[in-house]
This record gives sequence, C-alpha cells and structure tokens, in this order.
Amino acid sequence: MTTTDQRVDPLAEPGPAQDRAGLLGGLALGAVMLVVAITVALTGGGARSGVDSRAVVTAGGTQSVAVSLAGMRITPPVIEVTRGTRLVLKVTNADAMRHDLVLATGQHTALLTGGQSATLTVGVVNAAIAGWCSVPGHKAAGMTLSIVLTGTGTAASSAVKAHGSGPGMAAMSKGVAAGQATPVIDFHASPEPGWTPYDPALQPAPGATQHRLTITARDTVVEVAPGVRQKLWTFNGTAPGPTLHGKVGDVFTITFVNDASMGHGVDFHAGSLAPDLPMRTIEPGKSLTYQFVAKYSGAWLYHCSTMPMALHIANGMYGAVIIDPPDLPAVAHEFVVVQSELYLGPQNGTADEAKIAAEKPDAILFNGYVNQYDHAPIRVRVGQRVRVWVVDAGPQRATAFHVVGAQFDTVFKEGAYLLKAGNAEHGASQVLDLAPAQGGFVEFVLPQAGHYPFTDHAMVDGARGAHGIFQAF
Amino acid sequence: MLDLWSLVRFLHVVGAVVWLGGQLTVSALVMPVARDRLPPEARAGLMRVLGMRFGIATVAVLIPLQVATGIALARHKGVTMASLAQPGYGRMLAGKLVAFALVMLAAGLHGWAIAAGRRTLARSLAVSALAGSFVVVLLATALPVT
Repeated sequence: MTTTDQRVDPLAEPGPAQDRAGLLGGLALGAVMLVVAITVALTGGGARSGVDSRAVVTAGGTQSVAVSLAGMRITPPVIEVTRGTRLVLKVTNADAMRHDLVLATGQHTALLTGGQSATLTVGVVNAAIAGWCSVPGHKAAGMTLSIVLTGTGTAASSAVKAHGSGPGMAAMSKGVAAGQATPVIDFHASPEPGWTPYDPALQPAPGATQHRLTITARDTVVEVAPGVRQKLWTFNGTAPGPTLHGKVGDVFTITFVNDASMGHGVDFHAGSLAPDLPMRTIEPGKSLTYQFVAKYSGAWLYHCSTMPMALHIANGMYGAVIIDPPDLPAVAHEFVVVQSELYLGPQNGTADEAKIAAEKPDAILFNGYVNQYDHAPIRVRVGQRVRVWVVDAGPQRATAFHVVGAQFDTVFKEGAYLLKAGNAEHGASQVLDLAPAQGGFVEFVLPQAGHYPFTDHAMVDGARGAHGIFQAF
Repeated sequence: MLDLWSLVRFLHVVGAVVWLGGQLTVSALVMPVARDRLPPEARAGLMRVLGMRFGIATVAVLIPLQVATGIALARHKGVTMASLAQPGYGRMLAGKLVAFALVMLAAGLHGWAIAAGRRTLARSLAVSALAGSFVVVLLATALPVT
C-alpha cells in the first residue's frame, strides 16, 4: 500500500495514538455540544425572567414600555419610573383569551383579542399607579401591574405597597364595578307576586338514546333572593342550567354557544374524554360541539371550564346531568335539587371575588334562589314514593341533605347504592352528604299530611337559604 | 389515546432510534470487530460502503423524516418561533434543535474529513456526532410533559 493510498483510504491503517486522539477529540467536541445545548436550554430562561420581574425606565422625557398580557400575568408586573417621566405602554395580548389593561387613573385599553396590541398613553407619572385586567376573575388570578416611582423610598417597598394595598385596590375596583352598594339579603322577605320558582321536577328521560341539545352561555340578570338581582353567567338563561336526563349508554351531543360578553367553556362530569378541545374556552360569538357517552349512572355536575372556575360556578355556570342506573323503578315524584353558594356582588353585578377567595358566602341556594321552596312548597302525595336527586355544585361547600320528618330507605351516592329499601339490616338514613361536585339520590315516603322541611343540615347553611318544604297532601 | 398524533410521534422516535442506534452499532460493534477480523483492505472497503449508505439514508430519509415529523408535532403542540425563546418547554426545545444541528454538522464534516483523508479528525467528528446524539435524546426526555 502506498502513501497515496493511505491518504485516499485513511481508515486502512489506524495507529493507537491516532485512535486515542480521535476518541478524545470526539468526546471533547461532544462535551462542547452538551454545554452549548444546555446553555441554550437553561440560561436564556434565567435572564428572561430577570427582565420580566421589573422594568426600570430611564429617567426623563417620554419612555415607552412593552407590556404583555398572557397566562394570567401582566409582564412586566412592576414598572419603575422616575417621577416626571412621561410613560407610554405598548400593550400586547399574547394569549388565546381576551384581556385588557385598566389603570387606577381610569385609562384603559380596549378589550384585546389574542395577538392584538394597543398603545396606552399614561402621561406624566407623579405617583404610583395600579393596573389590572378587568375581565372578571383575571385580576384575582394575578393579572396586576404596578407602576412605581424610583427614589420614593426603596423601589422594592413601594412595589410591595402597590401590590398589597388591599383597601386602595378594592376601592378602585369597586369604582370600576359600577359603584353600587352590595344589597342585603332579607331571609324573611317574600318574592314579589308573579315570581316563578325553578321547576324542581325531573323530566322523564327521552326514549331515544341520542340526545342533541344546544346550551348557550349568556349574561342574564336573575333574581337570587327577594329584591336581590345579580348579572349571572348562565347556561340557557337559568342557574342551575337545564337538567339533562338519560340512561346508561346514551350519547349526548351538545352544541355549546357563547353568547355572553366574555370567554366561557363547559365541562360535563357525566362523560370521559380528553379535555383539551371540548372543554376549551371559547370567545363570545363562537361555538363548539361537545359529545360524550354516558357510560356510568350517577348525578353528575356540569360547569363552566374557564378559569377561575370558582367565580364562573359561583356566578351561575353549573347544572346537573342525571343518568339513571339500570332498572331504576319509576316513582310517583322525582325531583332535582342543585345546591350552590351565593357570593353577592353589587345589585345587578357579578359575584364578589373577594368573598369567594375568603370562602364567605352570603347565602346557600337550592336551585338558585334563597329559601326557594319555602315560598313555593313542593307538593307530594302522602304514602307515595319520592325520589330527590341532589348535586352539590359548590363551588366550595359540602352539603348534608336532610328532610325533616322523613327517613331515607334508599340512598344512591356517587354511583352506588348505600342503602336499599327492604335491606336485611332494616336500616335507613337521615342525611345524604355530598362534597362539592358529588351527587346522588334519596328516596322516602311521607307518612301523613303536613309540611316537611328539607335543608342542608349544616345548620348555618340551612339557615341562610338552603331550605325548602315538601308539602304532603 | 392512540390517534394520528401517536403515529407521528412514533415515527419521530423511531427515526431517532435508528439514527442513534445505527451510529452506535457501527462505532461500538462493527468497527472493533472489523479491525480484529478483517484484513485492512476489506475493512476499509466495508467501512466506506457502510459510511456511504448510512450517510445516504440519513440525508435522504432520516433528516427529512425527523424535520417533517418534528415540525408537525411542534405545530400541533402550538409551538411558535416566539415560544422557542420562552423559558421551560420552548428553551428546552430550542436547545435540542441546536444540538441536532450541531450533530448533523459534525456528521457532514465527518464525511468530508474521510474524503479528505483527515483520519483523526474524522474519528473525532464521528465520536462527537454520537455523543451529541445522546445530548439530543437527553433534552428530548427533559422536555416537560404537558
């Protein structure tokens, strides 16, 4: 073999020294690749989050700051400005859902859809200014902005002040939220003549195994207690929304339409599917199709799937899907009671987010109205079997459903009978307890004519609206 | 759920397995055995043909497959150019893409080094392509699952 051959065919005669050098060189190059790739993967994030946490504006003149709205955050959350600087915000919604930016000064951008931008001219800054997204729930979820002054104490403390000034922020948001006082519920008042209760009767399941219906989310002003009205977000105009009733194996095809003023979604616990598409939030004017097979029996909750869900549920976006267990006997009277909490906002306003966060409801409701069936007692026949389906919509509190003067000989909870009439133990039950989102039914027979109150036996909740009457005749 | 995207993901993973496994097989199995058992001429011929075929398969099939399935998966997941700059998933994916580009550069230079007769350099580049491929897989496994 010639030297020329050796050069043309370099792999022919490897020497050990060359081998080692090649191997070491290769490993070194590989290590360089590792370092480069890891650097790209990790360090960029650190630098970026450092920039994100606070924007410091150069002093004087007109300064413009890019502000991004996405992921329930306003970036940067703190803008540090030297007193007297004229500030301009270039606001971009980098999110899929809609956002805006409202300042405590009253200045605001329009409601921006994803990808839209707007310029907000703040003007000369002489004091700290708070900002937030005014889409309900977004401020509570963390979409706040603090414009703070440099050189007024430490920047950090003024930022904390701007973030944490509860009364100031609350007062500002109240001003924005229509400036009306929160009404007070009179638990002894009666509704006006002409008031109609929410029909508690469970409509029989249609014979067909395919259920098709349209559920439309809307803003609806609804009376929730005598003289007290809230602008609820509703499914088909009522809270609870329509009750869906079917049998095991039925297919439900729901066209969900958003006719409300903000993004909403829907989540049916009665079916199992990947949430990504059917439970996505859709913007006003859009619709989606949600299809599920009711594989299992139960009293299932459905609710709005848009964050923050506590607010969306508290503001009316809940309902029940009743799937009968196989061979469920027909009874004389069958009802649905959905329990929920009321966190009263201003008259004709929406639910109070601070009360939700503090878990301090003003009232507990059966089917959406304070003491509803005290005003319109549910009439049942003496000696006839009564079945009451109960779903606890929450968003936060459990229920202890009890009928005064009755004993439950049949109890079905979360997919199983806890108790059946004629059991060997001669046992019966006094309360159906349900955690938020759980459901079930109880059966009983009222022995003689009279008024049998039904209530949440968590007595504080029973005394603030979760109360009604079965009138046996 | 087993759907079309499972198939695309499957193709992407199989492509990576073939690329990494092919290199590993040649470097760690075929080369040492060929050195021990084959006369220099036969070995050189075998290695050249193997290298050529693996190179052609890489350029003609593997790179197009990885790029196409990779872009499809990224689109499906909602990855944009802007999101590549964001910490977490985006940055991790960007790092993986950089490593992939470096590996392919090293593999290409390896072919050139062989042709130019730069034996030690060729070996270095082959080893670095192999090591870099492990970096790609490492970053792929580090991508946060969402």
